[in-house]
Amino acid sequence: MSHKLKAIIIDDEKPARELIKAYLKVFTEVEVLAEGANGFEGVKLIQQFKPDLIFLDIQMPKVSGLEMLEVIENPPKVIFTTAYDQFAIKAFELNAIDYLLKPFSKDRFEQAVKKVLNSQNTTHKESLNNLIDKSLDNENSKLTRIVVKKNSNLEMIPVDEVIYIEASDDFVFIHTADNRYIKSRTMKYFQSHLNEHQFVRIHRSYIVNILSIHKIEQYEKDSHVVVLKNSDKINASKNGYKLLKDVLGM
Amino acid sequence: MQHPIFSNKITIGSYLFIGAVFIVIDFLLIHYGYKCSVTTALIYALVYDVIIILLGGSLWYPVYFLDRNKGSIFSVIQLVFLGFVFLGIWAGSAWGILSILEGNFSFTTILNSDFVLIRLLIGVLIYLLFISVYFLMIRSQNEEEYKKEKLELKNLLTDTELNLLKSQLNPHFLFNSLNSISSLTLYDAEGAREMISKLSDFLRYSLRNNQHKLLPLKEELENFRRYMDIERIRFGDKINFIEQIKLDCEKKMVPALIIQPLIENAIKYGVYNSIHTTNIELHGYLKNGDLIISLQNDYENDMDERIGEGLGLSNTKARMRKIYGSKDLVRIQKREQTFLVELTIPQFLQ
Repeated sequence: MSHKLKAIIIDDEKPARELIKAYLKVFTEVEVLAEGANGFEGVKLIQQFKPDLIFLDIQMPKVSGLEMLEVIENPPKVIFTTAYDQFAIKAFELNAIDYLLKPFSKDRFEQAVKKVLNSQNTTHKESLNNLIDKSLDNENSKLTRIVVKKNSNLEMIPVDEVIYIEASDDFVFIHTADNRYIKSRTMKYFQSHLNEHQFVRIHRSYIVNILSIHKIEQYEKDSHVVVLKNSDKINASKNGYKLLKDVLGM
Repeated sequence: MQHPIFSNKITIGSYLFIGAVFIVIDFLLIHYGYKCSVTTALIYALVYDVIIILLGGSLWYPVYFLDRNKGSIFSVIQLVFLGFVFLGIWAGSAWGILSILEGNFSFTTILNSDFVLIRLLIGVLIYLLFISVYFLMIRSQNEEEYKKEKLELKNLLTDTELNLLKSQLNPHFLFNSLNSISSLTLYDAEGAREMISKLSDFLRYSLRNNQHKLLPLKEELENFRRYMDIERIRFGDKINFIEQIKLDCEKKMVPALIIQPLIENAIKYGVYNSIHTTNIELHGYLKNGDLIISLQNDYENDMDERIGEGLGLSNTKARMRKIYGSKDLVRIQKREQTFLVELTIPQFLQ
């Protein structure tokens, strides 16, 4: 054993964190480096300690465990803990990701940790994103905010403040009045999780918030340019323009 | 409601078929009864009966839109009046068409004095037939709608009851509390036992007291404190709770479990959704003989618009209205950083 496995516990209830720490005592190869009580602390701790494993509660203030995880580029292995979260549990089952239902027994806990210790590969970003999508799908709700990370801080952008979303390879840029955030999500994800009466995919590379449109100009015969409130200009394809006209009721 | 005949091809077909049969019978009656020529009988039967078939169909509209809310005498007057209009249009237009035809075709006018009288009698009978059929149709339709509405209402009630039950059980609270107990057993066995008994008492109180019962405020407060104690074990310093209840309030009667949804709401939007300490203040005092209970909590105003419209509070409003028959007993005030719910509990019920 060259070095110990570094672990972090993120849960908004102290007794819950205490319990995990106590249960972990038998695993001499695991060392708990820090505890956090919410997603904001969680992101910072992960950045600072680069843990191998996190115990993550799902229901936490403001930013859920899933939302927090979403902005972490190379997520460590995760054992989710939750008391009652039908949507997330369904998603876990679909993705074969380990989770503990509170209150859990010592046996069940040790089983989960052993599984993680024995597995070599880390958590795949893709299966995590998949998980988050699934739990959102199950909730059947549209996004009201987008969680992003700026340096080591979590920020929440209300969707109304999004001016447009721009595709760029495997990630997207989210443009607001005074900032640009990067997020590793697909255009398709945003298309299906944003209110379609407000956000229109006007181009292969752009989703625009119609409330942020300043004016629309004819560019060539079949293409238009949308001028936005922050004076950015983005192209609308022929189909995109048609969609935009429909939504705007032109 | 759509027209019962004209809205469907099959009913149009059957109506026309009955009409045709009627024309044939009428033709035979005129031909043999008044011993006139085939042409004469045919023209008479066609003119009178085609008009009545058309009029009968359109009679639906005045019958359907009849004002039924002003008593049966008014309805009868309307129907008699409608009958006169119906007969008038029928006889008048038949007479008009026949006099035009008289100039162009050679047929003998029937000059029997009985004829007009019998025509009118037939007209009255047909009018009554149409009216009764239409009335029956409208009635059966109304009954169906009534049944449907009743069923919908019943489903709605069951849903509400189910939701109430679920919110009473509050699985998130329950399982997290059990998890806290599990944790306490490791380093504070005494505390764990304490929490188990509090949780049990809390659940028992919720189960024992149904929503229709009135209880002294004292009992409600005891339950409320149990709940707060449990939440404080879970969240520690994150809750700062102040309770100020005037002594003369404790014996006042309140609906069972009326405070619970308020505190759950405060915890949900205040504590669960905050990363800082949440202040929660409970006040109780008397004002003009009414008991005033107010609960105020800090909340962080991020973009969560749903606050205040939670299931708990809408139920509280509905309950207060139902019990005391007034809709101004729940006041909700949302400020920048605080959220306040104030209940005015009248004391005239015992």
